[in-house]
Amino acid sequence: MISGLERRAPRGILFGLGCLFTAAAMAAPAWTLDSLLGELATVRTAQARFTETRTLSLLDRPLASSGTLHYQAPARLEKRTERPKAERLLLDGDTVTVERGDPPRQRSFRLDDAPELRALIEGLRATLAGDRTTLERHYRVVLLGDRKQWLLSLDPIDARVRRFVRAIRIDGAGTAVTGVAVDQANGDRSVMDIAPATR
Amino acid sequence: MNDDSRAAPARLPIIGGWLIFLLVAVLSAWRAPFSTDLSAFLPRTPTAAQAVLVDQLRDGAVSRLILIGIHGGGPEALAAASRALATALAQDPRFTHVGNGEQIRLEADQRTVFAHRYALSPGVVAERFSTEGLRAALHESMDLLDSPAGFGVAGLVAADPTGETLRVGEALTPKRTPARVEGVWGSAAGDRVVLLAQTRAAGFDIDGQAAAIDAIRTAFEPLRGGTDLAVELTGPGVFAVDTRDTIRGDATRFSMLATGAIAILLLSLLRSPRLALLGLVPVATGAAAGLAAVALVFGEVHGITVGFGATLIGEAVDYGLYLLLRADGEGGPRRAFRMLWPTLRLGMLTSVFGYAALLLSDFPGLSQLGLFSIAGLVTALLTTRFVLPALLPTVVTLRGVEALARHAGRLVARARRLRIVPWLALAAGTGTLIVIGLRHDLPWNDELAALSPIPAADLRRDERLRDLLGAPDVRHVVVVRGASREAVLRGAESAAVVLDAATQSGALDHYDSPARLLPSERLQAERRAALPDEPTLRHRLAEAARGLPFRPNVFEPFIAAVQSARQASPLDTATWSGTTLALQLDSLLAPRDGGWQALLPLSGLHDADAVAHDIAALGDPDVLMLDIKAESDRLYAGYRREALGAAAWGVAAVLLLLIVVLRTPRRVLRVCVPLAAAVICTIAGLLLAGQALTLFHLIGLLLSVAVGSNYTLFFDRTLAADPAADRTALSLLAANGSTVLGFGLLGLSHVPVLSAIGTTVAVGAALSLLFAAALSRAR
Repeated sequence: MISGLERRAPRGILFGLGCLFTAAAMAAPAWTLDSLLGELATVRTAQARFTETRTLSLLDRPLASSGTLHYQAPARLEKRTERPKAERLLLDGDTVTVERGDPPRQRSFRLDDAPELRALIEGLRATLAGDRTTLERHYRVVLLGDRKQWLLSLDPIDARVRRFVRAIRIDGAGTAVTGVAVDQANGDRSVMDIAPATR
Repeated sequence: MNDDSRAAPARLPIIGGWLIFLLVAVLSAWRAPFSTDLSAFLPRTPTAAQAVLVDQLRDGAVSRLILIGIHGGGPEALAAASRALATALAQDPRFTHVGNGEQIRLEADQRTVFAHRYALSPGVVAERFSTEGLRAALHESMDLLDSPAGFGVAGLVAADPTGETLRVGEALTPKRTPARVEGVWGSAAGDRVVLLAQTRAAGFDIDGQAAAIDAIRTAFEPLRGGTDLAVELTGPGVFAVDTRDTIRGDATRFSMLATGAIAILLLSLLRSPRLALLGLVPVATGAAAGLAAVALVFGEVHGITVGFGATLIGEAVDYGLYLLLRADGEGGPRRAFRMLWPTLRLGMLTSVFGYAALLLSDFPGLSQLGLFSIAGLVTALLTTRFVLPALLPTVVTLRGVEALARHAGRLVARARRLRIVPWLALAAGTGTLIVIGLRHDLPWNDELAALSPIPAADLRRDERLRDLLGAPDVRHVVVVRGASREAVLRGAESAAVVLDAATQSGALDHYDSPARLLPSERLQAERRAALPDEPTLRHRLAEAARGLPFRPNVFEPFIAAVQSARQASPLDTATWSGTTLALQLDSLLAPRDGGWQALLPLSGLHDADAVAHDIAALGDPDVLMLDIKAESDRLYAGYRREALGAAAWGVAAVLLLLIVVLRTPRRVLRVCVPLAAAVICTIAGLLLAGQALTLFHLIGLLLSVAVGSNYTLFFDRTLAADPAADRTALSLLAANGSTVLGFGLLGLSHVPVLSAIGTTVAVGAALSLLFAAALSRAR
């Protein structure tokens, strides 16, 4: 791509463009992690539809599921899977409640009893809540892109968590999260596409 | 007078003999172990439930737990303190286990469960490993992988597609797990962290418990280092130490106060420090002899006995007073005593008869008390009779006593005008009791907790820490006893069938069982036999996986694990060493009295009757369900009933003695009516004041009868024909004053035991004197 661009545009133009971008960046207030998190923190509730594709090393084909997500600041996050099976996962504060099976059976546990899961969930939740302190306690955080289209990359700091989760990528546009991808240490991968709920 | 001095034995041998006796008594009492444990409450032939109960309270794993709370800092500081304290205590030989919820300390548990999943899981049955069973298992695994809840279990599926690790884990996990603060147990608010320490010392080893408590405080001190962090300890051992300290402190403080008050009384009457001091000689000698007798016969002295020991002062101090207040008469102390001797002897005998019933009690605690009182009284009287005169100067001068004696005589004469009062009191008291008895079932408080001197604030603190740990005080437990470990584990497994059903039906939330961690060898062998050999398993697994998206060879770890489980040697307690579950196993399974005992504590029991019924329906006499609170209350009620029975026999014996000695019904009535009226009015008063009667009130009543019988006998015998009747009246008033003073002070104590005795005796003795005086014969 770059070579193609070079062919079509002389070096001077490229340099000029570079200066322009730089100038524009300097003129506009800098868009930083704090700005993103600040904006996300203003969102009190959100609803969305998701489709998730999980690729597991155990299985020879990916697993697909879909349903709805409900968020209520700062600590309540609910995932209602509709397909292939109805299931409900609720994170409220420190408690995780899973409701599955037919007839539905509820089971609750505390995040503290599942430290790996805790790191994963804190990453998501702290992003949604705009809580930079918590986020940076668990992850090295890199932000790419701009307000319109951003990508937040979270790399676990704790070695014990790294044995489990390699990386989390959250992308979004403005205050909407549009995707979450989780790479596990064993090669398993989950990609979730999120679209604002049409209501 | 000359006659008397000639007849008097030489002083020196008497004083020397007395000193040697005192020395020996003090030494043997001093060397006896002081016990405060509940075994004294246990009948000599306990029921199975009682034996288990007391054993648990004395030495059970629960009795060895100390809960440690730390507060007064931010979450990070608290968690750091928790980790540092856990590390320090884990190295201390005084503790067998320390837990603070750190994940690192739980990893060994999870590893062990995973490694032995096929021996431990109740899911290991032949059907589960058939082709159909495996197919169902693989479908479940798919389900799990499909679910968000399956996040992270993918790795487990390859090694354990039948889900045995999760099944075992779920059974071992209580419904409620503690919250965590920065990875250690604490409050959800993050303002408190909690640790759990198990002492090596048994629960009844109060010195050992005290040492463990010190060790925790010492280890915590450097962690505090200038911060506001504070530690609080609670648990059975902590309570035991506090209780002992409180009772010791209060008993010491009030005994000293009472002794001081009585000394002042003696001093103001006798106006001679030397005489006042000598007045205390019989009590002191009696107390020492009583303790020594108990130590020699029982090999230990129980705290309760010592508590009651104070009560001896009531009667024995009177002996000295009776003698001293007449010692200045013609003929000196010796002659004075000869005058008093028949009455005192009879008074002492009535007391001994009263206490003798206790001596024969089935409860060692009560017989200790009986022995203590009898030995103490006899010694005190003999000391008054033989030693005190030898210690006194030949000629005793009392100044100002004559005037006081005339006052006393006039008071008694005035009391005589109130002849009707004892009868009225008797009627009113009886009426009150009947009314109360009709309104309420029983005026007795049979809750052991009613005697507990543990302040409510401490109980609340204990509750708070237990609540944080999700470790409620266990009240119901299924106990399995047997000749061997295997036998009790099998018993625990058959009880588990009932308890599992109760859990299913919602009658029970959760139970623990040692057989979950250490299944019986029979069950382990059955599980091994349920596992197929390698070719069979491979074949069935391939069949089962048909149509499912599992990659080939994914389940190699599963096949290898099943094969090694088939060859594995049975689990043992050593399997769990280094895990926190070792503590649980140790607390639930232990050798006892040449056999073994397994405990299955129940938590969240919603239908105790149904579960108890089903356990009983097992028909195994070695498996029984125990309600610890009800059982200990019942035990105490039995103790109280026995004491009541003993008191009734004592009263009968005293009556018989009086009838034999006094001969005429009129005199018996004159001696007995004041006592009966005093006892009944005291009981009625206590009940009207809102007190529920306990064992200790009963003991107090017994004592006030013992003291009061002396008053009535004096009024009956001596006073009537005594030239120095006023003196006797004075000594009775003084004796009564000392009793009311001493016991009234004791009544102010916050320890229920001490205050119950104090109030009862003070009121009972005062009423006895009043009523006895009112009914006394005029000269």
